[in-house]
Amino acid sequence: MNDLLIILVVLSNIRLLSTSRIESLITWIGVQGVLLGLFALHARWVHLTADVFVVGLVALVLKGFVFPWLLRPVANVVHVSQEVDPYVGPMGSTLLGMVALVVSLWLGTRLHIPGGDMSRLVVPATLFSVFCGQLLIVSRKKALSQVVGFLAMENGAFLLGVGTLYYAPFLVEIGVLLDMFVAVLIWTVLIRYLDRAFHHIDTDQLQHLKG
Amino acid sequence: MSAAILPPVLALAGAPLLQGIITRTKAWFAGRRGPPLLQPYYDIAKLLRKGAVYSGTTSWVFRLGPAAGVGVAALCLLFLPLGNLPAPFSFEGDLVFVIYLLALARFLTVIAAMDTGSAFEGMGASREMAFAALAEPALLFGLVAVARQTGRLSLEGLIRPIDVGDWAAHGATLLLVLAGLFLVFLAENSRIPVDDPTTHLELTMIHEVMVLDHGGPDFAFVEYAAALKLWILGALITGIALPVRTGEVAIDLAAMVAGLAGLAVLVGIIESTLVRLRLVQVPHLLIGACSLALLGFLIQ
Repeated sequence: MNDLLIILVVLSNIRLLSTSRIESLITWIGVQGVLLGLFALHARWVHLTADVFVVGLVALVLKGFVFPWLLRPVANVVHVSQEVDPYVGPMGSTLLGMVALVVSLWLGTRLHIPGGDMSRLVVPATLFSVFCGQLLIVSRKKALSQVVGFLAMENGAFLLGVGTLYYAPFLVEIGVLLDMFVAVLIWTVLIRYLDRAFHHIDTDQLQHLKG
Repeated sequence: MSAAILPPVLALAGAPLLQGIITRTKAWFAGRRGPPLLQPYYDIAKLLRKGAVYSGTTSWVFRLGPAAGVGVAALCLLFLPLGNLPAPFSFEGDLVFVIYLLALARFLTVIAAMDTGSAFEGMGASREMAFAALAEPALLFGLVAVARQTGRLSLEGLIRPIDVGDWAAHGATLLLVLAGLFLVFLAENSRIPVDDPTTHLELTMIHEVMVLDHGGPDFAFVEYAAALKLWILGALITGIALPVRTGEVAIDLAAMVAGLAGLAVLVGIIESTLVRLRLVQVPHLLIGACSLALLGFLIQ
């Protein structure tokens, strides 16, 4: 079951790479959030305490529903439905993603995490998520795609934390989730202002700004 | 040996029936009664009674295509097990051989289409080759992923040992492989969402474009070869998907035939509920199939 959830997370990452529509990027980062929340609850089921349960539940709701709910109106307001002219298109991204998958799995066999009774797919999946997030950030131009890329990267870090540790201090985990929440909140405001000031949200145009 | 003769005989006799089931399912979804289940047989029989017309610009290549296509597809059947029923012939590495035979059949269709000198058919040929270049790796990765678990490189050694225990132990891999193979199955047999087998009007068709100039017995051969291909890829999928390995010939056979019929119904449902993808999006789908199969190959 754990393996299945991790594989689904990997597949959702591939789906993120293979789309250029903002709407479906937001939907799929939400699906990934739900999967990660389920994984957080399921992976620690045996050692479940109240605070672990709360962290898992907060992660599920926040990553799965709140982030998409915050981002979707922004996409509507700024009238951006599609990544028109990315540096690397969806096809190229997917192919790069497949190469990254091979590299991640190879690196996963080299990198041993102490503890070791968790699924051996955790490390490769983490590396793959981080790579996918980075690729989204550097290859797409719209600010919204880059936010989704950042969320995918963070999801990778979350996967590693949940997948290898049965318990982390409550304050640390909930603090990270709250940080993410505030970050997304700030981005939504920032993107709205970006659109209001320049009538687009292409981050590559920002280099023309002069002080 | 008696059980080994069953899969090819069954395939030769039953292949067009799968198409009949697909058509019937689509009709049922549309609220029509639909043609009889045996309609593909009637069509082939009718075409075989007709005479063939050959354009003056075509050569022997054009006439060779359909007949050789059926021959090559029938050759594939000799290496194809049906679930627990063994194939008549089998050697280590025959899965690569069968994939190459399928490629050869495609090559024959394409070269026959090119031989007509029609720009329209050339366009279809180019599309077929472009998509096949993406579908083939997915097929190969999918089969090799299963081969990696069973440790055998023949189709028989690959499909026959899959039992319930394998599904319990490597369910994730097998599911990924099945998903990849199913997409290849849809693409290679020109079904929706890749190609629409019923259209003859649009500029987006792929397989039907290439066979426009074939008529009479030649077209019967083309249709029959297409039916065999549907059966071959379908039997691979059913063999992996249904871990029924009782050893009783009757039960194993019934399970596989039911599986193939179920697959045909599933295709019919997909064709009734999905629309065809835009042509530029087909590569995305096939790359998706590749990634599924590759993922299945890598995680185990």
